[in-house]
Amino acid sequence: MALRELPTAAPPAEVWAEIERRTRVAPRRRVDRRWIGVASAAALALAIGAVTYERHGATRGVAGIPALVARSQSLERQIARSQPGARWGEGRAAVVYRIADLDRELAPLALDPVRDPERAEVLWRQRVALMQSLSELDVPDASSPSRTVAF
Amino acid sequence: MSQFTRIHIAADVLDALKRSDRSAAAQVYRALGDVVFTLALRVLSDRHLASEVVQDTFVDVIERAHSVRSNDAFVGWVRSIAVNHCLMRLRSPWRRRRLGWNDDESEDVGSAAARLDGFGDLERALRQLSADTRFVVWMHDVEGYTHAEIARLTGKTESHSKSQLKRAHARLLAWHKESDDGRSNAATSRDGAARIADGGAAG
Repeated sequence: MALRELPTAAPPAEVWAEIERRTRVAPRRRVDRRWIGVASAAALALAIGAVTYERHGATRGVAGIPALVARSQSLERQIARSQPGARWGEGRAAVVYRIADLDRELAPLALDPVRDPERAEVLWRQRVALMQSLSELDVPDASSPSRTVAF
Repeated sequence: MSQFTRIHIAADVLDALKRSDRSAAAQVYRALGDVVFTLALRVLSDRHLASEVVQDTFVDVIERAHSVRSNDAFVGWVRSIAVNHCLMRLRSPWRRRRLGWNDDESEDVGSAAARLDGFGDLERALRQLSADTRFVVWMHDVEGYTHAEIARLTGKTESHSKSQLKRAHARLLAWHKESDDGRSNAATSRDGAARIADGGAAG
């Protein structure tokens, strides 16, 4: 018996049901992408705000904020590097939604560091925690069909 | 010959799939589900991970079918998605541990052979190989990938792929010979060795 003559095996019956369930939520994924746009805009505001915080944060008694901003940015870069082909499956989308919500609340505070630094610090801590969760979602739920994936 | 090459999906089914027809999706799954699962199962040697690969592959197929321009390339496209999903699992650090990924090729051939009981255990022998070796063997011998293609997929060299394959063949033959000697059937051994080689010695 050669390897190629080994018999085929059938996947468990529940696999198709799961595929159907996942592909039925496809329309919702298109909605997700709008949130990604919102999150991107908020991220831009946060990037500007991060610079402002680096200049003013320490003088307002919120010395932890620059470190939190740096940690958040570092995690974001790490996610972008390690999961370039990641799409927004349900688990991942839930975290992204929460980050987008957080960013909308954080953006005005980031642009005006003297407004409510204590609240801003709380939000930055939450953002770091969510980014950490996102980075720990081990494997992206989709990949490119390209045959040029490197180890 | 790869099981994939024996499968033909009718053009009207593919056209319907591209229009997000769920019945067509079910037909495509019925036609290809087993071969995708088999590919993943042989490469990963783990039914749970193989089931995940099938799920992820068909979710991609259903959602991206509209991007396939040539119906003739469809089955090969599905296979490449499945292969990528297998590779993603092989790349994952904790899954590498679970799958017994073993870059230094230090399998215990003796103990593996001891668990075999005959030529019909080729499938079990395959499972004794490390995950990266198994990937090379299956993709080359069964799916017909060239060493250049495997090297591109794995990010390693062609010579690495060739040496992996050569060692794997030697191990499979050794396991077979050892189990066959136990049954004192020399004729079957010679025939069996030739047939394993036929399954993968070329290239």
